[in-house]
Amino acid sequence: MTDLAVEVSALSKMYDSLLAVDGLTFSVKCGEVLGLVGPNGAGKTTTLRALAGIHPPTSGRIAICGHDLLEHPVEAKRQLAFMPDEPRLFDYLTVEEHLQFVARIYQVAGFRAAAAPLLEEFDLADKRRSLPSELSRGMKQKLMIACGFLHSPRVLIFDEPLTGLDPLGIRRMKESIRRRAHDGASVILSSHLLHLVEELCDTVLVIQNGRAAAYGTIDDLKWRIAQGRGEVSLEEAFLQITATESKSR
Amino acid sequence: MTGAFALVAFQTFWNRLVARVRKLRQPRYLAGGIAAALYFWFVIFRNAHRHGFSSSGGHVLPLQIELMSLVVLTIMILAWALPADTGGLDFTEAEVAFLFPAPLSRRQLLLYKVIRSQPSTLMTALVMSVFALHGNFAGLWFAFSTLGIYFMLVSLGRARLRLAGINVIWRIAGVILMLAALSYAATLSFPSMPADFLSLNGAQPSSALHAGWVGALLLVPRLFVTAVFPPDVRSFALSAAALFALAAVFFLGAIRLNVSFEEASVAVSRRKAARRNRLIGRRSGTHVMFQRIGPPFRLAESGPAETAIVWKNVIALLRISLAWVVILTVVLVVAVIAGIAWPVPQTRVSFAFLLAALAGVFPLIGPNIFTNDLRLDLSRIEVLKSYPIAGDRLVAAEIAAPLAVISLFEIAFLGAASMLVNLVGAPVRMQLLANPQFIVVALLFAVPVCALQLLIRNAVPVVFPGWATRPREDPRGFLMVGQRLVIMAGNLFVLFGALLPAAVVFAPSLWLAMHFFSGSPGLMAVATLPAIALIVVEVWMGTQMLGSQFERLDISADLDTIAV
Repeated sequence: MTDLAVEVSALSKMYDSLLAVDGLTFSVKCGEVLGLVGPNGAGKTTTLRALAGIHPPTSGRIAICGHDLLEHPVEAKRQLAFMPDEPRLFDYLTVEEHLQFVARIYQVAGFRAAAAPLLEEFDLADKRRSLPSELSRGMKQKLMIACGFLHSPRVLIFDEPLTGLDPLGIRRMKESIRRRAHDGASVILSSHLLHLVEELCDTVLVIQNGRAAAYGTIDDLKWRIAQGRGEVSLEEAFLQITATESKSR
Repeated sequence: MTGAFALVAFQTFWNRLVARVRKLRQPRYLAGGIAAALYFWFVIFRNAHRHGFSSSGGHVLPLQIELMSLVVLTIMILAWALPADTGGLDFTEAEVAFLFPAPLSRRQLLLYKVIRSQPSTLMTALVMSVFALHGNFAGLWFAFSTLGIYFMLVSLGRARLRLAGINVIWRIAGVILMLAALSYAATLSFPSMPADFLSLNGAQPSSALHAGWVGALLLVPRLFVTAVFPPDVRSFALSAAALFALAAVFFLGAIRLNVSFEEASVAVSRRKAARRNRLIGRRSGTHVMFQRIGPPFRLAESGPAETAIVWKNVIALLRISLAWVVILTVVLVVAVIAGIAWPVPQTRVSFAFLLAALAGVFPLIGPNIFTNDLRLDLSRIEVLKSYPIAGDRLVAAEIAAPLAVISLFEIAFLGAASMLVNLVGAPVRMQLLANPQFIVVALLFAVPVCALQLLIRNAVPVVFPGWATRPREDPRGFLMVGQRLVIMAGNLFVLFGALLPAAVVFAPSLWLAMHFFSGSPGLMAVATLPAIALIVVEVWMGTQMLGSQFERLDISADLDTIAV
């Protein structure tokens, strides 16, 4: 059995006449953290949404833990969790009811035992009877992430995971991602915070105008940009890659 | 600075107008625009044209001028009784962000507000002069502009009064006193009027209102009305000049009040933006009213995932729409009790008729009241689509909760109407309701028809998301009205089309049951089954198609503005 949790080949997505994603091919191994970076409008969110089965690709293939997302969407989706940048919660369900609802959707046996540590981890234990309208933006984000973690997915997809979190929340979130990757989950996250990507990710996919401008480990990318001229930061590498790509167009 | 303000105001208005006209290139907006235009023409403007004032100011009777002046005066006085007393003025969020930190004086901000309102005031005056009042366009513009400045003065005046310790109670008392005095003075002005004075040419009562205290009080409001309906050019010129002077006085008065309106205006702007966001982001019927109501049943940890969707929607129904459940139940219970116990037989029949009418329209209006289904969740569609549930099963689960409640009410209304008709002895036109065959057939059709209608309502945003979204910049506007009319017409058309095959199947079965089996209710039920089965198959196929469409649906920001 392959240790690839996510396999993407020739993924393209078109909106009317706009080619948002153009032939992306990459894979993520079990326990690997992949960072998706790129300028605004590069196609990061479109890619993540396609990976989460939210919108069908125009062409290409996506497999989650060996399940083709188009052929067997239910089996594939069971293995993943998608955390959007904007927490989309049900206004009429309390924190606890959200977890209960998600547990049933993903068939989590013993949901109370699974939910309790998550509520503690995300400082939601004393908010269990609160509605989303009673939570701050950061707390909503934490609830969204707790719901995503509840069924111990093998693939975690984050779109700007640290938006709205306080410093302690950011630290815990980073630890949480690291721990889950260590436990074997594959993580794909998009972020404009390059220091976060540098800190958390094993590999990076730089997207520009829907195409892969660079793909590899962080050290590879830095080395490629530095070309023996000493150390460069990921930020510097990113800026050079995207600038070169813009010129070549 | 005035030039810059005018440029911003008119350029904004022009850009907005151009954007709306450009929208008409899209079929949905064009169709919506035509539908709205026809609707407004037939419902409002045509009647206004028929019953409104003549286009010539000379045809407005002097008495009409005086009565309108009285109305204007009353409105001007009532403005002082409004509860808002923070002095908050209506600025947009962008205006707050750009103008409030800018080096502008309070006077300049007020001037901006006056100038900014001019394009929309001009437009209102144009529409009113062409379609409704048929008054003088320039006069309408002057009148509305001056009134706008007056209301700004009053808003700041209320804040100044609060600072002086005069609260809303005192203001209301003052307004009541003033209106009472005005009524008294007006009554005194008509000591010897005949009872049918309105049928006179108006000269006598009009002259009565010109004299004394009332005459003096009506001097200012009469300027507004005379500017709109001038008997001649000279009167118009005089009224317009006087209104201009009056506007200047009101404006200077607003400046002299020197009320710190900025903070309150920020709050007004925020409230307005929040209201607008609520409107474009959500449909009506999404506000959580009863936060503390618990789940209706315990959700077991294992079992079909679809049950979780039903559970969630029943919670939504209880926390959002419980008031409707209570209202409809009260209507039902009161109508039944009154239908049984009311002493007058004709009134008892009326209650039966009310319930029958409710049963008739409820499959159509019920899905608009109970929207706790896919429509409620469309703003969270990316989360829904990431769940491991097939589209058709998700759609079926989403519809289940509202279907249960709508069907229950439908069956209750039908059953209660039939029971009352039987009890009170209905007139001939309602005899059908007392017929057991009819009631059996109607009850059998109730649930499938409700399911069909719910499916159609849920299909609109999924199949035609463009048609079901509110324009962000104009969520309540003209095009939105038209769009909704088109959707409503489309809904009825699809419903009719879906019921037609069932009717075709039902007609021969009905004939057979009536002619060969003497219309036995039991056999009527059997005869109804093929048609019911056909509708059920249609619902099933519709669910499959909708589920498949849901899976293919591309998410765009538009889905945040679902309006159906």
